[in-house]
Amino acid sequence: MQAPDPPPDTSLIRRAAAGEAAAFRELVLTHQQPVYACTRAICGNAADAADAAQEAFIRLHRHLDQVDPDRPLKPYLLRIAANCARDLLARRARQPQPLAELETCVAAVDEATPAAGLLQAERRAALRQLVAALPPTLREVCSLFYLAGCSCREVALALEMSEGAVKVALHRARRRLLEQGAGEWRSLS
Amino acid sequence: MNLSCEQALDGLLDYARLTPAARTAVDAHLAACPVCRAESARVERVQDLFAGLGSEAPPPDFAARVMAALPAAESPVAAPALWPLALLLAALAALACGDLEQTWAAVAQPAAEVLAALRAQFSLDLASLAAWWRQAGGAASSLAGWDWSWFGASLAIVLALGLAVLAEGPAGWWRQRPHGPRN
Repeated sequence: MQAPDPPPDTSLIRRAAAGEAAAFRELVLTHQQPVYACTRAICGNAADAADAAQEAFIRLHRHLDQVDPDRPLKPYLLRIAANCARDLLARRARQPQPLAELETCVAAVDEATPAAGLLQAERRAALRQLVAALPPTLREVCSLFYLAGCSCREVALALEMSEGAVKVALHRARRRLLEQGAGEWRSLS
Repeated sequence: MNLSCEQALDGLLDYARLTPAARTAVDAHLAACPVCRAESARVERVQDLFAGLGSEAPPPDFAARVMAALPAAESPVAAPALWPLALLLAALAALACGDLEQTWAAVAQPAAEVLAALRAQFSLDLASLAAWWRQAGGAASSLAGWDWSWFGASLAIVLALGLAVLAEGPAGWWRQRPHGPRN
């Protein structure tokens, strides 16, 4: 019932695997947004998300010769990104750092500009908190689907779940968010 | 195409990616099913919420950071310049076109000058290069008693180009060899 997947990055992957730096840079530019959204969802803060996303691309570069250029790169790359983010979280858990708290303060200062609108900033912060409070699987599915712009199939491939499980997770996440009052904020925008 | 409620709600999730026919089927189901219509409103509300949250953009210099962070060992390695060696071999080959004994005598004498000129050539000293070229041509012309300077020089250029092209094969392989360990 779905339209076919977008064409894979066949040429770019082949050229990058042959050592062409410009082609690899093009791959980074093409996929950096969903990869970052994925790591951001799992890590919870921008600094860790950037580190994990960077690590994901480095791993991709290391294993380019194992990538099938005729298949879409995005789900494979997102799976690497999710693993990198989880690895980083595990390392952080062993070495607690006050980074997340610091970033929350910085983000609050950034967003609290008069022009941006305090209500809008508060609403975004509150929604972020609600998403962050979701169970890990629901949070990752939600973030990949809504923020990284992945289809259900791509989310399923990235998180190694069935497509049905992704849809159930989205349904549960939606119900939770609305139960917790997220739907009422619409009137604030 | 008549859809069940489950199929319609599944379709609703990926609505933007559906084929036109599938969209029509979902729309038709929603028009006829109040339960799914209510669920559809909830789906849209959550989508609006996330749209308001804004996409997660990486830092502006992210791509540059990634490229800079690629391990040096995995970066393409520049092949050593092989053309000076090819040029030397070509010049020797051109001189070897005459009698070998005479050629050796001709080559042994200016060998020091040739090496000095090659050193100068690395530093792009064109004056020394030209002087070397004249000497090589003069040495060649003494081999057969006729003017080899142009013939030898031309032959050397052709051979040098040929050798440089041949050398580019291994050099290209060296640059493009697979990097890094497998899983």
